[in-house]
Amino acid sequence: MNQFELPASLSLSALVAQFQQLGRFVAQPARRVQREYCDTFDWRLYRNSAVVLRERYDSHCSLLWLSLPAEQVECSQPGPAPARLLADLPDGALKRRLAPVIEMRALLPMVCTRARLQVLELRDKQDKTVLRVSLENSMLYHFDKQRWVRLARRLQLQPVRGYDKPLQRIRTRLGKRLALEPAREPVYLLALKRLGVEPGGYSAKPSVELDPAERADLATKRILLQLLDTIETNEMGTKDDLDSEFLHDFRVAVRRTRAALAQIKGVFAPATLARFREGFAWLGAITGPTRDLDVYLLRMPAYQTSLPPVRRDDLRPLDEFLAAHQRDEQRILRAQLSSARYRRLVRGWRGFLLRPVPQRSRLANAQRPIGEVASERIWRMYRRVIKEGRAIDADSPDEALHELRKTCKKLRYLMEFFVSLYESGKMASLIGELKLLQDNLGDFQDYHVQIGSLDQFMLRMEEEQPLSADTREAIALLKERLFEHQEHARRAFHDVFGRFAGAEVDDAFGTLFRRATTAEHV
Amino acid sequence: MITFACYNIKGGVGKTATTVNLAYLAALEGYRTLVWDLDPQAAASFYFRIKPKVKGGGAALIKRKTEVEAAIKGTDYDNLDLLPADFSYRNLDLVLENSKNPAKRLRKVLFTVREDYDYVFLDCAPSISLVSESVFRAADVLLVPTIPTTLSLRTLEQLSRFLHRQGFERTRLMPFFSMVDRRKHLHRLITEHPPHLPCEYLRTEIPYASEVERMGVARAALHAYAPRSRAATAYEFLWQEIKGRLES
Repeated sequence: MNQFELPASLSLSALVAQFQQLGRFVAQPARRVQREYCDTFDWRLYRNSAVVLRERYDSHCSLLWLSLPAEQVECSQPGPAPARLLADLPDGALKRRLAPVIEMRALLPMVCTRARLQVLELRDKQDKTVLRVSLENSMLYHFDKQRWVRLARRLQLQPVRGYDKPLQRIRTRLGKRLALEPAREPVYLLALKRLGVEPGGYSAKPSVELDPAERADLATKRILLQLLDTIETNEMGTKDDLDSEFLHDFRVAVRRTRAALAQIKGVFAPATLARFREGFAWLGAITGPTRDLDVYLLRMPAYQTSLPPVRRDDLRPLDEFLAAHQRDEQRILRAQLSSARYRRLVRGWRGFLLRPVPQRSRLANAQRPIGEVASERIWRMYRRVIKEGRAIDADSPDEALHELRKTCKKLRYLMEFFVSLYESGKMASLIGELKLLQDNLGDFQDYHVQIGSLDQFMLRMEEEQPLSADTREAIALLKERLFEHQEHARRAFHDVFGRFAGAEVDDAFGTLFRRATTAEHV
Repeated sequence: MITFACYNIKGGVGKTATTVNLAYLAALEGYRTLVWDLDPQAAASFYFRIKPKVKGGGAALIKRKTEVEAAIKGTDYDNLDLLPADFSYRNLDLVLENSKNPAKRLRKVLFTVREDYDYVFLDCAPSISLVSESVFRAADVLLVPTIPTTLSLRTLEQLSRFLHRQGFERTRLMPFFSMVDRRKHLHRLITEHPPHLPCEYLRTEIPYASEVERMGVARAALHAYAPRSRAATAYEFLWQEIKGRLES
């Protein structure tokens, strides 16, 4: 890293004077720079060893892709200040690089700083810049304290390609003459530490470490508590509609909660269970309409590319219809999530989960070890998947595949809740096998639902204002494409299910879940 | 990586100004951009204030004795690098003649940096020679600044015929009018009714402007010192049009 710590005793103007003695340094006018270090809520850039810096001074605003931990600029482009989503960014190299990483997620400021920045350019005889030195004194906005705090005083050498000699010369002199210490940590990571934020800390996946001997009711409460944390963590972003994935993660956590309540049987009192199952069913229902519209909006680019280029614009009315209705539904959702009913549900649920489990319980599974209960439930659900799948043939109604999809989902959730109880490699490979089957069933069902929804949308659009023949034709063409995909998924089902129900996967499921159940029962 | 060659058989038509200004605009959008100054007169290197010197000269680059990465210099602009000119480029024809597959040599040199850049601009010396053929082979697009005069159009037609005869179908020819002086009747006449070619002219015209001539004094890209000038705006339109043409 080409960053050095500047001692507080050394003023920036004194440093500028010192540099001017080291070579032909030209000082650029000092600037006040505002910086936002951005990442997605789920740290997609950090996981790619990067951060996007939005830098503003005077009327300039640019976006820079910095590698971590070196904080080297790898890519940059001008970017308007409020742009958070890919669609709002102008075309450019950074957008191209960001697209596959952040996809539909918003760029959110993780760290905000302001700095006094002085750049010195070392020029050669032709007046060409051969090295830049930036001196900066930066302050960090502390979100909790709601005020600016001192962050760092740094010197950064910014080499120019092909001019290594001046870089080496100045680096050596910095050590000898100014006795500057190299910085140990990049500014961004230092700032996160000051804010008490752990980068990469968020994941929507359940990750509770369970002990197989732990009481089942206690273990279940711990799983549910983590899901409740996920719900609450995503609440603000969902209400503000920062991007579509807050609501997605919120809904998945609600669905997982409902699955746990329904599938981990005999651990909680029926009356409590009934109360909360009803509450979470409501939460599932109120979040549905916005999510459905989000999904169609996310699909729009793919819908457009599935049509011939000349027809793509004909889908614009559909896009506008979806966006307008999404806004309406989002407003309703926001009101619901601000309601007393929602507050009561979440508070009551947390209260229940934090209450100690009764020492003795008459419930069938409450006091049994979670290891046993988990294997039993997974094994039973796996058998149900096999049974339902084997009953499906070419003449089976579409509903049979839909039912199988729901059973697969329950199995997947159970496996994910209890993943820490089993050997991770084996569990990952079985979840992978299940995922292949789920993808096939998911595709089939999705295409089926999409065709139906497009009909609904068309009717509602017609009610609002008459559609042009071109738009009607484009939607009909789209439906045809979706139908082809649906047929393809249905044809592929037999092979995909055959693999899942084959001896290899069956043995693996048996070894992991059946034997454990039998042995512990004996 | 997309390679543009700014080329014309004639000299003094605005090749270097086009190369430097378009490369600057590409880099401004964040695209990693390289200019290769192939002209021994080294005008592009001069504009970027970079010494026209390559270790071992052109021969070492072509024969790959000098690593191309080691010869590249960063300009004063973000995302914009230069492979400088060298006076020995005046003998590039001889070097190519003595090497295997001369027409493919430049392409091979650039192949080594294909992952490092989004766009490469070749600033070519005026002439039609073995180096030109190697340029045609290396370039995806030939940008041909053309002054709207009878002689310039004649050379454009010659070029078009040559490309067709020699089978350079892969290289897209994009001529455009440069140094256009709307006060001149002939300029107006030609730009409004350009002769038919088996390719489409870019619609943007670059006006004859003193700001462009000042590039030699400022030794900078036009946008760095006259961003709101008519010529700067014209280069912006030209760059957008070229990108649009590439996408279609």
